[in-house]
Amino acid sequence: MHWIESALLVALFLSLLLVVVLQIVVRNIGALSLSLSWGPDFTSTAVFWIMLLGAMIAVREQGHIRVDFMDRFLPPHWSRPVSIVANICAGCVCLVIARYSIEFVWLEYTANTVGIEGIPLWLLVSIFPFAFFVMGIRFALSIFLRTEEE
Amino acid sequence: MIFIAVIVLVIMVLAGAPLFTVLLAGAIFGYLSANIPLSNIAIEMHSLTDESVNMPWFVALLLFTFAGYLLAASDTTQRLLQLIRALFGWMPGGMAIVGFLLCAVFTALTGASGVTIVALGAILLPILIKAGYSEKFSLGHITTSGSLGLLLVPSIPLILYGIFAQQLDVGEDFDIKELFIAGLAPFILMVVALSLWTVFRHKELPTARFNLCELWIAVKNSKWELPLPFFVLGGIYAGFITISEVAAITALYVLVIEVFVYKEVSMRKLPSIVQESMVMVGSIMLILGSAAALTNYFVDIEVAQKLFNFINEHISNPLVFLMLLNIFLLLVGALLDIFSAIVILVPLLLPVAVGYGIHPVHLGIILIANLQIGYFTPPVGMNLFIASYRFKKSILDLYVATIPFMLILLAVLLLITYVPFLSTWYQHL
Repeated sequence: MHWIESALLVALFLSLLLVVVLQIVVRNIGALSLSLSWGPDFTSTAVFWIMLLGAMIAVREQGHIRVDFMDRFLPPHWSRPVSIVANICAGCVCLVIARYSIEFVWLEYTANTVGIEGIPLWLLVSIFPFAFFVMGIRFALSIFLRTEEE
Repeated sequence: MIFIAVIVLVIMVLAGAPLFTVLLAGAIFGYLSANIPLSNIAIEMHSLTDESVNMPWFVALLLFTFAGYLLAASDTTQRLLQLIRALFGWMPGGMAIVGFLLCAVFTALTGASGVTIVALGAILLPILIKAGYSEKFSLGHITTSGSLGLLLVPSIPLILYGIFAQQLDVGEDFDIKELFIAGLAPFILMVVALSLWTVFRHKELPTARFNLCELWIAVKNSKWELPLPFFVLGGIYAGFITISEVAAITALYVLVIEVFVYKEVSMRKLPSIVQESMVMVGSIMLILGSAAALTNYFVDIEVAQKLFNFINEHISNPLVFLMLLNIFLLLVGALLDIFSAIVILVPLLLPVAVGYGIHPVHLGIILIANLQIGYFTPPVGMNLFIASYRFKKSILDLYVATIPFMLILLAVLLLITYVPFLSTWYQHL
């Protein structure tokens, strides 16, 4: 499961790099009068996906930016209950966002918006509720994971 | 309702919930109270990455960050150190100046200042002490340098400020590239001020002799990396390729030289570097998106306008406003990391500052310069803790060591704040 996320992230990044370079090459071979018409759509989708995949992995690795100045003052035995509160709140927020973003996907579905070269947009943005759902679950699960470590 | 919302948000912040969830919680409460459908949060976040104005800058952000991480994983730092030492080592105070420059370049590329202290500081500290600087001076030097370079091309916080400021549409248009020009003079001023003080304090230190042979070897060793600054700067300002294309060429070039020419990064290690850098930018972009969703609510209830009216009732003089702004920002910079500070403060401060006749570019430079100093402002500046942890010194030692550096940079900050010409000179050309 974890390796799929990572592999997808790496593949997306490398193809993003490739497509942007390709765009420069293609544009400068004017004689061929080619252009990557799907280029901009692809890059914006790739950025959207990298943002969400990166965020999913960051939850897994506990790498999200947070306001941590309390860590420097709290006694050590406080850190666990405090982090449980933080993770429950974070999990709830992610699940609420996941639930309501389904309506956003539905909106694109009924509007029949086209994403990249005939691929419907709703399919491309459906990663959004999925990513938030996974993050919500991960925040919730992290409460139990820490107990096992101790 | 507002009361509950504020309590929940404060608890989340203090308990250390990830910043994006705090911002989204704020957005959820806000949208509920203003009767905006919650699905709009997702729409806002999607449209931020979808907008054609921002798109090239997001792509550039991803690609530059990857290039920075890749350079950090190779021996580029060592080669750069050798080169700058050969160039400036003969000057009085040379090694310290080398340190300032090296840290600045590194910070501009990686954006995260903690990385500079942990990775570079460990190499630099023994070198500085061996060159004859006191331990106190060297510690202060490295802690201070850990955030030097945030005003230098292609600094990630500067790009983020630009993207976010554009999003707000306050009526004063500017190009994100202008921020890089604007940051140049303030940055040089900081390095010059720090260097002058160093030289003044260490007149008696012996200096190495300038050695052309050593310089030649250093140049030869780093011949593949030397074209990079010209690439980046030339590409950005020449104007015939877009910023995302400059970043793509830079990333591809760095990839080729580190993996195939210097062979310091193996193909097997590459995926983990890609992942590490993308997780970092990905989570920053998510914060930006969450902040954009929250800002939408702020705009809806005209928070900035009310804030401006309130402040304007009490302070009519822009000079007084700027002074209070500086004090406020230093405090914030000591408490929050730079990305959090940007996304939380810019939507509130920018419209207010523009109301006082401060140009958005000038505000951006003031903001980043303040946050840079906030990184090592006692008692809670983050870099003080990182350095204390890394070098196993008490936090009090670090307070004492960094204070002179801080006073110098504060003097420069006053200049930057009250002489807008330093940041906006190019507009008068």
